[in-house]
Amino acid sequence: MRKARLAVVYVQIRLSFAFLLCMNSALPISRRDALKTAACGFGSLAFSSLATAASLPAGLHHTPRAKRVIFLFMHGGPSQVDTFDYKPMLQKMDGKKLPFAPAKNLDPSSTSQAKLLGSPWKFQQHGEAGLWGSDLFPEVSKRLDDLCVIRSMQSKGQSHGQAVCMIHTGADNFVRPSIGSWISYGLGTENADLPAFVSISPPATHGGPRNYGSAFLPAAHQGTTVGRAGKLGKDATFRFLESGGDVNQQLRKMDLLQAMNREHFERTRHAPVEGMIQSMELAFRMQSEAPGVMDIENEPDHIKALYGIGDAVTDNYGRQCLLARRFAESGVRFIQVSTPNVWDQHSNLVAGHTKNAAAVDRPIAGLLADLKQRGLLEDTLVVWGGEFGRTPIVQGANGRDHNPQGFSMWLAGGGVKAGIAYGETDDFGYYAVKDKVHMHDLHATILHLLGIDHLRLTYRYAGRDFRLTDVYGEVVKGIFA
Amino acid sequence: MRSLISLSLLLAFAAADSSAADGVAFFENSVRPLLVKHCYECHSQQGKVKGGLLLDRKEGWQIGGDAGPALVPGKPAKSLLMHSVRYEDEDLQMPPKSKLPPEDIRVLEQWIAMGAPDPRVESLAAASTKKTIDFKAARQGWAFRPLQKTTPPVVKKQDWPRKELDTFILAELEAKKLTPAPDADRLTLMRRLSYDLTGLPPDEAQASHKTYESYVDHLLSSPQFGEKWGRYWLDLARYADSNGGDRNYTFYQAWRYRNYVIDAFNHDKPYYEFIREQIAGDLMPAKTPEQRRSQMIASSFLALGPKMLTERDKEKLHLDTVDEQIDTIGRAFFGLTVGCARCHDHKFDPFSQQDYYALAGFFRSTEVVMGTRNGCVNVASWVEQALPQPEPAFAELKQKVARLELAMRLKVERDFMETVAGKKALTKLPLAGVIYDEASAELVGDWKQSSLSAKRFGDFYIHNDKKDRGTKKAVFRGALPETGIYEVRIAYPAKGNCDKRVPITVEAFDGVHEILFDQTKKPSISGLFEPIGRFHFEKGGRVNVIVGTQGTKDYVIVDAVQFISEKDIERESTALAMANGSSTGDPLLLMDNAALTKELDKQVNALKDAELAMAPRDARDAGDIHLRIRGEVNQLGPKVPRSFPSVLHTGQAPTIASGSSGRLQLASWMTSAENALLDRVIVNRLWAQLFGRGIVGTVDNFGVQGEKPTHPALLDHLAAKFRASGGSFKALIREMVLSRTYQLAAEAKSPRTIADPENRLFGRRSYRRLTAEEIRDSLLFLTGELKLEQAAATALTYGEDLDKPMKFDKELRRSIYLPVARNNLAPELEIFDAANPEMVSGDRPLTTVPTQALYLLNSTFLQKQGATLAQQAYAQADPVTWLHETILGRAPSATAAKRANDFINSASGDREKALADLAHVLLASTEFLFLE
Repeated sequence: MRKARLAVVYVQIRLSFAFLLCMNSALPISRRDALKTAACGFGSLAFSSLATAASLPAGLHHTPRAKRVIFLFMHGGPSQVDTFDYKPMLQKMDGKKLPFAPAKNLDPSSTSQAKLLGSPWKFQQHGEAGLWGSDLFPEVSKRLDDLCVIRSMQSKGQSHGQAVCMIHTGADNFVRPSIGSWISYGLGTENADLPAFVSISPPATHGGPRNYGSAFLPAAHQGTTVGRAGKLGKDATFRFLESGGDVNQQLRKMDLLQAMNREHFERTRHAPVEGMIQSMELAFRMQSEAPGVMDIENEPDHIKALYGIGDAVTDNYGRQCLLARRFAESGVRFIQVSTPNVWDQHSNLVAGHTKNAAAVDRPIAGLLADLKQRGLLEDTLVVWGGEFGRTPIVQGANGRDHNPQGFSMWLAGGGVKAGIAYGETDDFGYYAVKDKVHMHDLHATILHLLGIDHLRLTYRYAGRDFRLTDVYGEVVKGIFA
Repeated sequence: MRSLISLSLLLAFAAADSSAADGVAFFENSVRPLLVKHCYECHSQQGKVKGGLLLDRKEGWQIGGDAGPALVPGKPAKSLLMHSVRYEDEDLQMPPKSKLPPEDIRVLEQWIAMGAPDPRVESLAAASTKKTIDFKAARQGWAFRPLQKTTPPVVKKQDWPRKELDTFILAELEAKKLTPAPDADRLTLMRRLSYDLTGLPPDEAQASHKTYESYVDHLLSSPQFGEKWGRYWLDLARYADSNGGDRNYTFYQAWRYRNYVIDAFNHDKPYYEFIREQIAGDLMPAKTPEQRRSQMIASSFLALGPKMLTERDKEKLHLDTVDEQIDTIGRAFFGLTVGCARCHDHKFDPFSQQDYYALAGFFRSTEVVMGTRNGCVNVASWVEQALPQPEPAFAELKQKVARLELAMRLKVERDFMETVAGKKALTKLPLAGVIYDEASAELVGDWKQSSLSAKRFGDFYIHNDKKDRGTKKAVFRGALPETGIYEVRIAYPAKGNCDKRVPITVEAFDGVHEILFDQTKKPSISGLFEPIGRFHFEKGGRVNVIVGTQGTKDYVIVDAVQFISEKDIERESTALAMANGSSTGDPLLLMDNAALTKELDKQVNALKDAELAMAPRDARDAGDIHLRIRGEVNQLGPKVPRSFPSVLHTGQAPTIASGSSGRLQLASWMTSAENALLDRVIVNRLWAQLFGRGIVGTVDNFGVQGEKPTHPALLDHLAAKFRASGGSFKALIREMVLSRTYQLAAEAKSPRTIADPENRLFGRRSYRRLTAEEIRDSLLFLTGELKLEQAAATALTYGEDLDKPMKFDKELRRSIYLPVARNNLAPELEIFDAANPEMVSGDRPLTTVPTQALYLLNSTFLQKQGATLAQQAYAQADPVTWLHETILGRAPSATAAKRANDFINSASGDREKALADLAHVLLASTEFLFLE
């Protein structure tokens, strides 16, 4: 019922909006104001972006291979040697001493022993490409032929706080815009009625909002959140989206408000006043569009089952993944889906990792399958990983410590090779040694796939041109399809 | 294994070296292609010159890059190049992406062993493009030169100016053949003035019967003045009530700084004193305890920044903290991005890396982060100092803080011991210090593992099996966190068949000590450890303990070595005494871990509102620091004497007493008359706040990348006036708001809007949107709910960190008193561009995003305020007019009144509901949100 009424309102607003567009085009508006005014990329001015919302920009600097990103963030740091980086030598030398020096700055009690801990999980080769996967991720392993596993990741930050900020913002110590904000800034939105950057249940700790914040970029580029800290409540929505009141009454109020505002603009010709008028229209449309996108109840049962929705173990993450697909379909550029901060198994590796993997394995495999069957995987880049990996040496009795020195992440779709492994760690999965991919490199590569040259996506702040990759970053061309 | 290879290579090349021609041939055939393929991309003139290192010429590796010569001819083992291609150091691995194949590494080793024959003759100078900064020229720039003497310009329209500053504005307008806009009407003016000086709408009763000038004085002396302008200062000071960064711990004591700032503005504290207190208040002499309190609180400024408290490299944590301080001070006080010079000379502005580290020395010598927090060994804490108080209370407080520090430490150590030593050792060995187990020793000869004796540290110990006496030894190479005297203890299970004269060598900073040790004697500490002496160790210096076997007859046992500082020994003996029940000491030390954790929580709760300040103090290791090559913490360059930036200071470096940070000297130099930049920056900030745009448009950047002043003479005129007034904010603000320029009308369209769309000439008034705080405060003010008293501690009730969403719907005080949680700002403030408290924010961005519109349409707060106003309006004769006057400050036009009445009359519900909707619409309208 509510939907039907909203649709009527929507048409009316569309009309008044078209009127506004005509009126606006006659107004002088400086470029600076335009950039500050609307949620659009710097490559396009407010109106052109809104007017051509349906057509896709052709990439900022070159032809893109992907149009959007879904980032599956495993908060806490899953272990590479128990998932996608099979190390026979580690298994063989289980319990023996690591034959070289462990990394600096780790818990001294684990490094002074430096005893290897073989993976408690069984590994086997999968699919045509024969990539190794452990039985920790049985469902995702079945899809290894779709994945591009980077086994030589490196990052900065031995602690969560630094490493989580590093993976999201490219800086382990200072406040910088997050990758989603950079992408929103660079490419703008595909759908004028939705934000360009949505973070589903983002981390509340380890920098919290800094990880979806726009820092010094215009505020329009900060991530819009739904849910929090790995949990997506059943009724979770964007903040202030619910009007609570009667739709017709709200429309009457809008009419009065906009009449007053337009008159005020006529009197002042002050550009930000005009910006507010537009943004009211946009908000009203978002109010009618977004709830529909976020309503996963109408999905058919077999799709829900594909994501593990309804099963207590996988329901939460399944909902998040399905929501991510719906956002992707609706034109959101960067969608992040986060687990709670659960992967940090300093002890009880088996119990912890088993539980965590079970919660996400089916939802992730379901998401990949669903994207593929809809043809969305071709231009959607899926990125999976944590802020770092874990040590192959034991910590305490049965845990693993943090390991930014070498770990695995995987990509899928969006113009990367499928069914390959890139880079290597040493015989024990400790340090990346071959074709190392630093987090800065991964960032540069993600931007490249979206048609952005990471060296040229800059923002002048405090007298300096900043970029996501600071002074680093090399595009990993070896993984391009 | 490795040494064998290099030995055989050396032998091979002793022969090969005989011919220089062979060497060159080897270089051309094997080395050059390798360098071209793997190194030139980043280390040649054609490629990049990373780390300042060129490998495309001999001089390149001879002189080397930032880290010095790349190789030592003839000595592969001492060559940085070999070190890096072998991937021996995690931080220096070349080529960076993948290790070279072993045969290539052998080629390089061979080449260096040969003496590194290299026929390439291009000089390094030929490739060098490094420019040096011309400080002399830079000092003549408009920002850095001394204040210029100015005389007010001559203007044609002589009856227009009211204040001297008006003539500067008028002269520029006349030069562009423009006239100023008409004056604003009285209602507009009173509203403008009230918001600009107090952040609140005008109080009609006050405003209506006062002259403009007496209204100005009334507002300047109201306590709300400090709340409005103090908030601006807090934007600059990146003020927050929580750490942000990685752990969003509550800064329980930060509010004292906030109130200090508000009071400073209300009492018109001279700007120079205000700055000095924030830089060095903790060190300044004070006449009264009150003054001392206020100065200590002021210096919390240095500690308020966001910090990565879990950084495990503590030196990096210190230097990152210093960087944050320099960046903040540079931009807030000097409008300069000095922080840019951490890794290299500033790309645009006259700041060298030398200048940066000269400044960094002051702050590295200042302790802000220290110790651990919340019983987690990897989380650093910050300094909190007791504020002066009546003597008994003060002493008690100091004791409490010390006790808490000790208890926290104890908990950390116990956690550690529990995981490593097992529960047995716990009660009797309360402090772990630094312990090395036998597993971390380098062993010479064959040692046997045993776990026969239960009196052992860890799972095993080892013994020499009474064989190969003399050759076997166990070498412990340690590293200690701090310089100082440590007691060295060794662990061994004592037995009758152990040797009585075990040779132990301790290599310490104060020399090499030989000790003969009796292992039949039962260890005195928990039956596990026995002291062998106290020695002086340096942080980063030699810390070796060698257990030998020469001259022994019986078993030699190696289990563990412990280093424990003298300070800890004092605490330990207290703890031990109490554990034995022989003292009436602190019961905290006797608690088990669970009880201790509970007690700690209680203590933290009790202390969070104690009379403490986040004040810094001079560090124990105060002194000059090393320049860091490329900003890398571990790449030491030369030591840089503490001094002031060369572009601003031409005299000698200050003389700083040893052990002192030198912040007093820094503070006094910063505020000295030599430093005209300080005045220019603050005067420009005040101007920008009142006129919508700075004379220098980029208020936080007076560097080359910033804008140039539109009215340089006016800037210097105001700066000189400010300096002459002793740095009085109120005098300058009064001067500005009494000017005619301030009182002009805003315009939609006029010759001025066409000729000067950005209003750089200040020929008319610029519109401005209300700030986030002004919006919220006004919404409460209009309904009469706003509470105007000053708040004290405001972040006490939200817990140890401020990560959880906070609700403020019951909070009726002004927005400046809401807790500022980093990464978790109050939504109603954040969406209207409240300052991001993680950085200096002298010019808040003005954004227009849909979330603002959604908030205006849907927030329950706005609707509630609308309903309250409607209730009040209902009793009025003409509710529609009353609502317009109350909310927008003036009666509606005829059309507006008709439109509003139509809205009410056509509503389906009851009339009060319709009035509430009207009030809501007025509160959401741009006319309410924008100030003329």
